Amino acid sequence: MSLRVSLDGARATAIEKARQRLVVVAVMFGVVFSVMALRIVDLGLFQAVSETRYAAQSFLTPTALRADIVDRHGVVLATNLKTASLYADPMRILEPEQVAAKLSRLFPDLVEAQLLQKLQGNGRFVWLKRKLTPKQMWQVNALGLPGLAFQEEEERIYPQGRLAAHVLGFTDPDGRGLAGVEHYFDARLSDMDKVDEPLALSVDVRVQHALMDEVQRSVDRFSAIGGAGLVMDVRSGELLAMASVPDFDPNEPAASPEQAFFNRASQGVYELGSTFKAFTLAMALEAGTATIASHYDASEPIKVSRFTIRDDHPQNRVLSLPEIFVHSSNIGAAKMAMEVGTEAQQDFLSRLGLLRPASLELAEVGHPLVPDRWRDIATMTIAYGHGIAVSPVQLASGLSAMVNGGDLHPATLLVKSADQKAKGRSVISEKTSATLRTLMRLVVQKGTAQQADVPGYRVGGKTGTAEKAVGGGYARKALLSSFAGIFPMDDPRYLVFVMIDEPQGIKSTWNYAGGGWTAAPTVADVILRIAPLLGVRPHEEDNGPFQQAAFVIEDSRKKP
Amino acid sequence: MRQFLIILALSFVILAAGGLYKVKHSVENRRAHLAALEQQILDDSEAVRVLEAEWAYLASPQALQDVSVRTLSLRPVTPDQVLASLTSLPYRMEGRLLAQATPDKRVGDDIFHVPSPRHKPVAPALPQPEMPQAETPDRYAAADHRLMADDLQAAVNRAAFKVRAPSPAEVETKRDPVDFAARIQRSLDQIGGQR
Repeated sequence: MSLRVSLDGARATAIEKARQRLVVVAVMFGVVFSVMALRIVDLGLFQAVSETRYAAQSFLTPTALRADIVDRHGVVLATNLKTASLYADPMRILEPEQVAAKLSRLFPDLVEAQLLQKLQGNGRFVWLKRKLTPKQMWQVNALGLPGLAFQEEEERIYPQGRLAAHVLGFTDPDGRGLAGVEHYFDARLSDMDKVDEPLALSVDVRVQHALMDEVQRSVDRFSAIGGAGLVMDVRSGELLAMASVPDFDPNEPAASPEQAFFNRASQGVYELGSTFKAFTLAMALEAGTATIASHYDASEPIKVSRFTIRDDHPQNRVLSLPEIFVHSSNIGAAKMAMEVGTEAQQDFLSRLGLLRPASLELAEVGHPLVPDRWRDIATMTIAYGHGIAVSPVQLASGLSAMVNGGDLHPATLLVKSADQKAKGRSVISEKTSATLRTLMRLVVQKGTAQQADVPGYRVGGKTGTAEKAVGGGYARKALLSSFAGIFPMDDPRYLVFVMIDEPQGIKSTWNYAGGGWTAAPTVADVILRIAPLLGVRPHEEDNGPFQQAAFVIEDSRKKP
Repeated sequence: MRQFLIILALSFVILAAGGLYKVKHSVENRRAHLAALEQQILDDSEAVRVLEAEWAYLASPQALQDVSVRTLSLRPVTPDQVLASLTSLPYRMEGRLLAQATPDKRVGDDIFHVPSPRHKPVAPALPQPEMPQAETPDRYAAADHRLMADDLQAAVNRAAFKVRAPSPAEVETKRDPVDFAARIQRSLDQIGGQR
């Protein structure tokens, strides 16, 4: 039932115009609203964000404040766990005497008088006890005292304990890295964007443990003041293990004496002795001043001003080049170096990275000590590893280059990718490298390091026995005995270096404490343990016919 | 007609309001559920961290070695115990390589079926260099002692491997004094307590 009103004339035209305008506006609104309605239906029904996508968008705060550190196979080396600490707001404590009495009953290690003093203070915040167990937390809550509260904290945990302590380092209670990898990669580890990605080191815990265990055992056995060990992949420079004795527990760094934090493997620089003869030989072979058939007269000690260069294992005759290496003749090495010359020696050692600190990912990297003025006597002594002090890491990198075909790979504690591995700097020729491999194998077969042999793994290497520099001269009894073993020598994979600091000879070594008697058997023990772990196959032809006989299979089902 | 439209519109409004209320209510429920799930995920991932740490602690090489020395008499694998490759297996008595043997119907078509040897392979000791008697105690001596008690010494004699292991005293002193288990338990309890 509608009412129609019609008007005439100008009025009617005006109203008609207004109505038309209203219609236009209404249509516009209608269109806009229907577009909006359609869009809502579209969003609700057709454009709906799927639940999985929504779940992926949902924001989860990371669980830790510092990234984990894992070994090359993902075994946890360092992680963060939650813990709670008790604090008080003295302003809100009603009866400080009562609170102090109750708390000291709960925590026998807290002294009541000290607690009372803290609780009666004027501040608004005072720590009472850090890192409580959940049970203690519950007990404190059960007291129902106002003014006490908990602060959730994170604690850095090293589940492997002392293992790889010098590599990892440790953090302060607030989670800042103070030493080792924790310090070097502090920014990376505390970067909140990367906190869920663990930092993978090149270390292998199994290898690390074997090395640690054997070095510690040797240090104990020879009553030494310390020791160091390294296992390096000679093809990439990756360190699979790095040990230094004495060590410390990164979970309780404060409990260890200061000297335990010293990393002998990377921080300490030492005159490492005869191991350097490998470099001297390589240098002479590369320079062409010597060939494998060269001979040097080692019958007389060399006298230069007030110094006399003698042999530790004197043969008192003319020695061939392999003999110089195998019998570790200082005289021969010194003469060989003089032929090449001081400048060439400097250049060669510098190319091997022995004259500047190793580029290792640790804060604790020692600066090598080199002579200020490189005189002839320095050239001669450096030829057999005296008068120059380098860190074991530098030596290991250099020796790896000697045997792996001549490519120098800088030592690293991180896992290298395949193309990074291929990038080595050529320092000697493949031919010289092959010669050195043969010579190093000869040292173990016939020379000073016969105790380093592990049948089947073809160990080669070079011993080093250096007298420690004391004051102006050298101490005859304070030795630094080392052995760098590489296996398998026909296709080198790993280098195992062990150094024992001031070993004392014992009865079973006839009181000898040189590298061949202390470090070489330790390296053999390490290789025996790690070679199966690293998948190095023993060579069957090195086994006797007994093995062949032992594996003969008898078929039990076939009766003759 | 107009009344009908008004009633229709009003009922739409009531329906829409009711629907909106329901949707909003369910969204709130779901949001709470989501928050609970997220909390659960956080708690669980924290628990996973704790368990990973505990696993790393319990399965650390030092811990395994301690247990091994205490209960087993295992020694490092010597090279003569490792078979370099299948081809290094010697010929059978019949003069055929094991891998090339004709399939045995009784054991299916598994041509690699290896009949287990009846006698334990005997690896004779390798010739050792002449050495004076070591004055340091033998690392595996304690383990051997236990073996003897278990009447297993014969097995060791048959195997005739090199003898090396830390003494229990050495093991005791090496174990770090930090009460690790308590720490990890503490964190575990705490996560349980938070739920």
